Amino acid sequence: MKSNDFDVIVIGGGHAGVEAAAAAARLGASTALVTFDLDKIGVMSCNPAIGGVGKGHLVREIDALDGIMGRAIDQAGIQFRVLNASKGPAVRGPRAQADRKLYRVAVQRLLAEQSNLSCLAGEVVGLILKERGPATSDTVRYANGVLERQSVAGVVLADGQRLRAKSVVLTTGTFLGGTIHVGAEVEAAGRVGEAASQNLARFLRSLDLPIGRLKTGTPARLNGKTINWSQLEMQAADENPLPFSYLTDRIRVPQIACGITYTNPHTHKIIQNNKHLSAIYSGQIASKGPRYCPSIEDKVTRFADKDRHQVFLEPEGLDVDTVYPNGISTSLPRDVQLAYIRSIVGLEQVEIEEYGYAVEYDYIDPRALNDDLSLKACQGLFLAGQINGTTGYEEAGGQGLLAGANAALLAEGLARRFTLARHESYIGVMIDDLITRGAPEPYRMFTSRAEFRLSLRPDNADQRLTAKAVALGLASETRCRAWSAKAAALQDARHFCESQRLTPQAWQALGFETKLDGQRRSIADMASVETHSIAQLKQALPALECYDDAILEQIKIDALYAGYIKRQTSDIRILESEAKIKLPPDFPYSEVGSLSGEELELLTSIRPQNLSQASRIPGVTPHALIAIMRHLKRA
Amino acid sequence: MSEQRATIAALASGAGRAGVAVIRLSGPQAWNAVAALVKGRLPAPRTAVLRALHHPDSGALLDEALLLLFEEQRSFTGEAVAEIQCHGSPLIVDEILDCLEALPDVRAAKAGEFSRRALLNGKMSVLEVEALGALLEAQTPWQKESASRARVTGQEVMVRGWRTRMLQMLADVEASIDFADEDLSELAAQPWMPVLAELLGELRASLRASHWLEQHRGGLLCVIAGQPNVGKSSLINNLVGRDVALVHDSAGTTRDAIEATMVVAGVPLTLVDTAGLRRDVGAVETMGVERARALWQQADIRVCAIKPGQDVLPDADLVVETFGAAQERQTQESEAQERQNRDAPGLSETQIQRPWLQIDNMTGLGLDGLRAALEQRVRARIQSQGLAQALTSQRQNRLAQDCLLVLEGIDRDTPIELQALHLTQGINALSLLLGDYDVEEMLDALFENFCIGK
Repeated sequence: MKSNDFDVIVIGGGHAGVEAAAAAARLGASTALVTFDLDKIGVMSCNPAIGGVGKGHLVREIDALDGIMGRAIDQAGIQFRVLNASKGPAVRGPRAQADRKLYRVAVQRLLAEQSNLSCLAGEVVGLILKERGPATSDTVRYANGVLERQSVAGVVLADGQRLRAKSVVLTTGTFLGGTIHVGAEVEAAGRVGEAASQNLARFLRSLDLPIGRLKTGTPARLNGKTINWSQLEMQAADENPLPFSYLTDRIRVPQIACGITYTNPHTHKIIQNNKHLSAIYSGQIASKGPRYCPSIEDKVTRFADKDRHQVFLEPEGLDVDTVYPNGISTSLPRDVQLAYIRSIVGLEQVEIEEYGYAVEYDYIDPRALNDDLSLKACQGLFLAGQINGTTGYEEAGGQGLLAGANAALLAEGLARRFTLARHESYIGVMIDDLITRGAPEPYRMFTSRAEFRLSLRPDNADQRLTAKAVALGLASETRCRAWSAKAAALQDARHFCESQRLTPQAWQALGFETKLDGQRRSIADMASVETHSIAQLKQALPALECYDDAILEQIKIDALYAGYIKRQTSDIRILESEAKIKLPPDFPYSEVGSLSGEELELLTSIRPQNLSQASRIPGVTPHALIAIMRHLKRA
Repeated sequence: MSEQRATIAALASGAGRAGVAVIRLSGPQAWNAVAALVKGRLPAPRTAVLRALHHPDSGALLDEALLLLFEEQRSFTGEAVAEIQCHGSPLIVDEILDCLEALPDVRAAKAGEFSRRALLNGKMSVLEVEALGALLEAQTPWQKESASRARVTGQEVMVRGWRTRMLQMLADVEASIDFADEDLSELAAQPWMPVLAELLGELRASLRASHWLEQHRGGLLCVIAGQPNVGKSSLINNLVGRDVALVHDSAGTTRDAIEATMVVAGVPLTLVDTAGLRRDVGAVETMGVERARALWQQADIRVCAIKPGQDVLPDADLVVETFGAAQERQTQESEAQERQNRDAPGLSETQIQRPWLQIDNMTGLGLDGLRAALEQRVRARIQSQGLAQALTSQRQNRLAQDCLLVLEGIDRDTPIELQALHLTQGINALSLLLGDYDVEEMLDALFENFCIGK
């Protein structure tokens, strides 16, 4: 038997593939990243920005698990801005516009520095699959007809070369069966000028997986020299740019401003008059696009009462003229694109460098996945990113990291998996949503998806996750050292701030307004009041001088929500206890009785791993859960 | 075979001797079980047919009974159902049930099990099950009314309406959080605040009405107050038509509140005659006077009984001037009206217009007027409660109260992410109320108050 070429092979060099490959390699697995063009690794296909509300949370989590994205954007961000800065810390969204080239270079450098990792150029056209023995009566048949008796053993390249590996991570992005539409023009491609993975798509379709089509779009790219900037409102970066990575001490990249302009009734008229020529409206594209990142055709149709839509003009780099007009993605024909863009203030003379397009691609219904992102029907095959129905770099990165880590654990022969629960992380919320609800439209992260939003904050991602990464062996030595120093400092300061308690009179004497109710209050209690600044506390209590401001700020934020978070612990207990009730893959739902036909079909096709997952499948009622539990008890 | 699929049987009508008794079966074997007792063919579904019932083993005649069958999905429980309407002798009922329960896959139903199956099979909503429980327990017309199918539909519409508005508010709140980079300036002014105020008003009104229902499970309370020896006890005896109060000529005979119940406009009305209110109270009477004051405050209808010329309690709903044998009925209607106006110079017009009745306790003259006045007061009292908004069970009230509490925690200055948390908690409480999701304990608690056969 031929020995393996690699432990883990990752297909794709986008944001999911990069995190997957780096995570597997960090865990010590010998890893190969296979992609069409090595120079395109880390390319930002759509908007040149990382983060935002919800998405910024994900980047912080990726970084807390020692991923690539946070460190790369810190080396490439040219406009750092915290969204929702005036709102509470749980919903603040760190965001940065990137210099495309700097970002790609930073990603490639970080991968080059990673041991155990090789990047190979090539097209994967198929997977080497092993039958896990003949089908028996025990073989689980999923509702889609797939039998759980295959496992993956490697990949086949276009030149016929076979690379063997114990596990494979598929991160095909928009390339799997990718089709680009500009007006009536159709072209098979993953990005403009880049070939799509048609062969791999054909291969996967032959496996009888639940495959669907989704679409996304991108706007035209403008020549910044032809924009009349003097007419535009400008938005500057934050004065003190806040890094994404817990390892970055400060941002060294020069910061720039971007322009803001608006569409107008004339723009809308041009679009309305030509809507029938758009690939989306002509019926050429039938697949679903994201509701929350609509094309401009969608916007003027669905929000007909709005007489303008905001457009951010985001320079794509420090030394290039290309500008990304954020907010007007489109699949209209080229002449219409030019006409409506030139109807916008500041863009009257603009020249288009590259036209906008819509792209359709294959995705696999993520309900076919386990919570470690492995396919239920095929051992050793992991999926991450847009192939699972998500949209966005950050969503892709978070999945890639988790899939890569699990691919490595499997390759090592360990039974252990790296999974994250809904109360621990946004990554956990996302994966749980995907595997229980599917992705009827491209899935984007929102903070409102996280029921434990107050505890899942961008500021405390390291407190939530880095210890897990360290324990698993997923964190580099640098990360381990930095975290243990910070954890010690936090513990020290927290102990002091929680144990030092003063009477209301004493606090008043120090200049802090407080109720005279005889209740002694700790420093943490007082810090939880928004108006009590750390500087003020330090001035009143010189003993605090020995603690770092950033550490004390963290304690202040933790204290702010402490009461609310405590009240959610019973919800977390329910979640955890239901997750402990495992449902074996061959659980005989048909014998439960009292399940409706719809419930029976949902449960047998999705086959949730535990009762907690089952409870979140839309259409499965509490009564069904009770019946399943009774059946389990009797068995 | 799973527990759920067992066929259950029980007496569905009241226990004890009756003209007819109804035995109900539900489950896959319901029809077969009946067939085991019948020699001829089974009737077509939904068609009542008279058949002789025989013991399946001995062949002995048990009874002659009407049989009624319902198909799966088209029955109370959603399962196949059979009803046997036999003669209402406990002996016959027991014999038939014994025969049925001896059959394989048939067993006696547990308390509430029929309704429970109806709920699990989607034939009834949680609100409908609770209303059914309330209906079977109802003592007053408004309890019966509030448990009616139309009212339950109304409650469901009301609660769903609250939840829909809260979801819409939450959608706006979440949009202002998650779409920070979009142009959503219209949300900065928190346009959901007026909706919140409206919701708070509706929730409070509903809870007030529900609380009133809860407090008046047994009917309304009518307190009759007045100086000692004005003849309050005689008045009650006359109204109720029997001697419930000890009556004596000397002042202060009644030392404690005494009660009698009559039905007015279909409503049980408890009449309480308080111990007389006097200034120079003896030690024995002190307690009585205290209680009299408390009862007066609590009363739904306050009747002030006086002798001609005595003062009137200002917040009485009715004033009754009583005459005994020793007194001539001297006062004319116009004089009485004049005196009333003099008595109460500071009172509003509506209060002044309270009925002023005259009753002869010896002959009962004027009692019909008092009865009519009580009936009018009872109806007015019920109408003013807004009972259409009331919820039916303590469980529903507790969850509506939870929802109100979290909504009360929101104001303009509440950080937006905490507004979202409060709204989510409120929506969850209403979802539980509607039974959209719940736990086994809730089901158990729900059904344990049910009697067998329902």
